[in-house]
Amino acid sequence: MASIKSISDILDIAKVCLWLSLRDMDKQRLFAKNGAFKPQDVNILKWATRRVEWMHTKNPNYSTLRKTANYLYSLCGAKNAAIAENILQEIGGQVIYDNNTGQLLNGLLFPDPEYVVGGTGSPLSDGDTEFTITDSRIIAGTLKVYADGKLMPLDVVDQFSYSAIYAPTSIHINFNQGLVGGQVMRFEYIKGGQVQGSVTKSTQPTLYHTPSYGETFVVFPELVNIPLEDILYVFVGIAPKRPIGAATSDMNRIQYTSSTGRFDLASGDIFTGDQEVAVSYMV
Amino acid sequence: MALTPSFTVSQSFSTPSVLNIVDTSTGSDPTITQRRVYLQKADGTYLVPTGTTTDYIAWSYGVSFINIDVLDQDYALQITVEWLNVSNVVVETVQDTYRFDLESQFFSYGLLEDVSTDNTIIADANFLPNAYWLDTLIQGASNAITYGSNIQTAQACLDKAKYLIDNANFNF
Repeated sequence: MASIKSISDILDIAKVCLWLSLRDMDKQRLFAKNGAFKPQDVNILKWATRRVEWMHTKNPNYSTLRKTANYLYSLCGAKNAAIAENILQEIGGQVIYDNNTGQLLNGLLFPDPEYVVGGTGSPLSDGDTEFTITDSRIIAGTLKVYADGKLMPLDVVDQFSYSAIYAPTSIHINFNQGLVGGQVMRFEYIKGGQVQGSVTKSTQPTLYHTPSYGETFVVFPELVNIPLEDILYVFVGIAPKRPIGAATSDMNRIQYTSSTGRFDLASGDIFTGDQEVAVSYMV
Repeated sequence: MALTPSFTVSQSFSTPSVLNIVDTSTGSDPTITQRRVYLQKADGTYLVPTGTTTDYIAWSYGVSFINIDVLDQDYALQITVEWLNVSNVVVETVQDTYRFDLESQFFSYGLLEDVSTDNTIIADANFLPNAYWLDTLIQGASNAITYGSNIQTAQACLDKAKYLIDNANFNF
């Protein structure tokens, strides 16, 4: 029997969904694929998360908080919420780093092995109807299979599809018809990283700032020396921007300089004066 | 030990019109006999409860806290507390800027309550953009205080939020 999620759990799940959907938005992968998340969904998810978090901070026993939190949970979508929950369980809600090297020891990894059916060294052969991925800390429900670049449907009978059985150390895939030699098969899934250290990082309160019209950058003193990997998401107004470590002309991205905690807009872009910059990060 | 003056301010969650101010000073100064609180608004005038004829609110030195029922809307305020001697000479002063935004916060949360009751509301073309805009204004007021101690900018944000709320029938 499914258990009732606590408000805190729902907020954690919503934040993971928000993070994953933003991460995948520009690549049209996983969370952003097949209508799982659209940009407008991300915006309402962000808004609802902030509202529920505010009330949860002010009065965790507020009479309508359960109702609004359940609505927030529904915004995540049943499957995405389940995946986010699996992720939280897999990594214990924590991202762990080596405190000397900064190497990610426990977090999320996104393997995407690709094989040519019948190719040299390929584990897939012409006519195969099943395949097992062996790995560790696999997060159930995250597999996507692509045949020649096209996402395959899951569990349908009238076209080439697959079914998957998950275990923590494997995904057993059954195809409803044999693979064909020369096909390029790609398998995307999410796994938790290996736990090796004891230094933990946790999500910090979101930072907000509204730059003036014409400005091209914004500085958050709290982010000085926070590495790029610890920036979970950046919004400019209602538009998600992917932070990168170099100057860019891509309006969907924003340059981040760790040493100064500074974000520079894409070349040629300016703030319009009514755009709030929101940054979620970990320390 | 000499007096190190300080105070904290909060807005009552259950009664948003009430400010709770607590004297958190350490040490003592035997010459101090009274306290005064100034609530200065962004336009330079002072906010006082109905019936108060001075710019300040007298705060009995014998009580460590004071509850002031004065917020008739969301405000960004510069709050000054003065510690005075018997001759009305100011001995110590502490001043800081604050925002009190529970009305906007509650209204914004109420929008989410509405959506969670009837999700079709978001089909209204104005609803979500104005909900996001209200959220941005609330955060803008917070930023103006946190990063700039700027009550003028913060009040401008809160006034725009109030306009959205006062015209809710058109905006949401």
